[in-house]
Amino acid sequence: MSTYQGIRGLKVRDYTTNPDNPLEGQLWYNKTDQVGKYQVPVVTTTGAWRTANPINTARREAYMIGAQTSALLFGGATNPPPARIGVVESYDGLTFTEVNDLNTARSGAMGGGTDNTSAIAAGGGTGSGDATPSATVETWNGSSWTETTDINLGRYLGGSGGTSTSTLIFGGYPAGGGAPGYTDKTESWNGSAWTELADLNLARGYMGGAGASNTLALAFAGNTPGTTNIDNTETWNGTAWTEVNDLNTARYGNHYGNIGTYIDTLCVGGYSESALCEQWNGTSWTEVADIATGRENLSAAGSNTNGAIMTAGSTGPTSLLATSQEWNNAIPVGAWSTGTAVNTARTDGAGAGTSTSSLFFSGAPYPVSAQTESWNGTSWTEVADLNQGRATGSGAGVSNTSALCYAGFKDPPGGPVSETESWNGSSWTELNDMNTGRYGAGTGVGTATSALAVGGNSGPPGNILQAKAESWNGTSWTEVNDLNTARQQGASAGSSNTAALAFGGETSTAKSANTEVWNGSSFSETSDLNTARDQSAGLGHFSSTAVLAVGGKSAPGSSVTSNEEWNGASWVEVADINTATKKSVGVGTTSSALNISGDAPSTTTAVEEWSGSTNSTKTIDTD
Amino acid sequence: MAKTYQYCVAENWGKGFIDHDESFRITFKGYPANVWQVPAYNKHANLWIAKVAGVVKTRDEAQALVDAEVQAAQAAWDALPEDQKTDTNPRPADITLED
Repeated sequence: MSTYQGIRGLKVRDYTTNPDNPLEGQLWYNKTDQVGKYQVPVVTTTGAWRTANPINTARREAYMIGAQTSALLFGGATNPPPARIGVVESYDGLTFTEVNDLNTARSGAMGGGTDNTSAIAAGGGTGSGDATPSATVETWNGSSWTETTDINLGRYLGGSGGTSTSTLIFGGYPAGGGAPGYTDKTESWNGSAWTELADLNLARGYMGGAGASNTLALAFAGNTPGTTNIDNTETWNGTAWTEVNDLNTARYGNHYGNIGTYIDTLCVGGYSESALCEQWNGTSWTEVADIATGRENLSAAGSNTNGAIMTAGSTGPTSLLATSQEWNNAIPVGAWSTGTAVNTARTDGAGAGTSTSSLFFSGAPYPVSAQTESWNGTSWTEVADLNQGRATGSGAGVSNTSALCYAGFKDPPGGPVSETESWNGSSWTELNDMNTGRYGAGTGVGTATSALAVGGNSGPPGNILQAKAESWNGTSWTEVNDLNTARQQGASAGSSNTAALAFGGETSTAKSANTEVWNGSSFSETSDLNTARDQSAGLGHFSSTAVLAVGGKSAPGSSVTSNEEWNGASWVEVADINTATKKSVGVGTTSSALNISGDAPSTTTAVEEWSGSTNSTKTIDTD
Repeated sequence: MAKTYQYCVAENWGKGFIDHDESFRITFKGYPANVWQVPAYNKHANLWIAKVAGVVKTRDEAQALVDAEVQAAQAAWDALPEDQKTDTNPRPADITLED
């Protein structure tokens, strides 16, 4: 009988049952159950689309190459009349940025490339109105385009796949001026020359293609002279095309760009304004989650397995789109567990740091607290008090040895706080005051030397809602451009006074779901929270693109368990906290965080710990 | 009608009371008076109640405990000076447990 040691050359440790805290990837033998077990991360089993940041220039019939974290979108057409453009945008996983144009403006190009540093654009349609097929080819070196050897047959809206040095193009329109005509021709690029190879079985255009090189590819969907929508799929083995299983929904004008490989890809959108998405596993197509906005002549690139980015297209001949979505498969599943309680229950406190090194300070109930507790990953220890007690203040800082406390509310009738204090690991020191004393000015942004206050309330007398923002440079506060929406007791997050997020809060009329992004000079509105709320914890002193919104209040007196994650473009609901809490304090990151104390509905010492990923024990199948 | 949830009373002792694996497997909801809601007819929920030595309550019994705690919080709020009864510090709302 084969043994694991015989096969792998490794011994496996046995346990009476299971190890207490198995590591990801750990393998062991469970003596009680007499089976081998192993530890794997828990991930979602179905893919999902999520809003991503838009492109700068709406267009259709652009081609896209690369990965979800590094992609390139080139060419396309704008309306009316159809005018081909050479505009190119580079994607870094978060933002599209315009880079140097193609030398020849074109739409319906084909191409290849694995990231935004190298690509090839082959063929396409040029001019305005009815396109003129082009044979021109350009290569991208990460900064500019250079013309290289032409393809043998000028065409546009064909399929393609591969890298910038090993590319396959197939099908498309070689006619021009609006004349009918489709080609079945296949051409292969080896980095220096194009070679004609075996034809497709079915000539077509407005089609999809995928492949990692010029020797393995997939052609699917499209439009033929006799049939508007086709479901036909063909695979390329380096020598010939073979018909394989059809799509579930015939279509044309689906995404242009390379997603994955000939055995693992997606077919997204298509005429007319389709939101359908199908997943190819090398054998058959399966319908998976729809995109949010159905569209045709769109663009997409990346991988089915590791994530893709989709953008552009149109919802008719003239309604061009700039909106984007990202495809994610196998997303880690996070969860909350109970953590070590703080010494003194408080609401409306402030905090700074990580899940293993943090500071929890100030808070209510009245009289307001100046207390500070330090967390070292194991226990909470009371340390030196603030000079100015306060509630509903803000905290910034990266650890239990470096923090900033600003804004807040003094004991009635004391009013709003303008005092700023800095923590050096052992004591608080008063620094320069804010220009406008206020409370509820965001949960806190940045570090002890680079922070931001957003909005708040500068009453009494009465409620004086603020849209004002102030920037801290380590020495003094400077008024900067206002929020678009005045609010108090919203949450905030961000790594510094140049990159931040303000979300939720209470406006003059209601709890808010509004989210605004700060780029160092101005605020711009972006995607809303799913649940409008104030008094939530904003987790994210380290990033403005990876943030959690935890708990809070969605109606007077009521707390919520909702937990939402921000990816730089949109909020999605992730695992709820175990106890509905408002006015709590968040520290840490989207990978590992703490939700500290708060009101549930009485003041609590409870702490919850967030882990952005979960492991699960599996049994080795010995059948 | 089969119930969806079961309730128990157990004091949260902090780390390890609900561990990460338990939180992943079942949905917990914590309420005032140390009342916890977990899924009914669920192996993992029953194992967790046993681990924390939870005292199982009917929904009505759990509701009475929650009501008493909320009413105490409401009374404390009612006793606050008027200047502390602000929009940002509203009276605690009633909580209704699900079957």
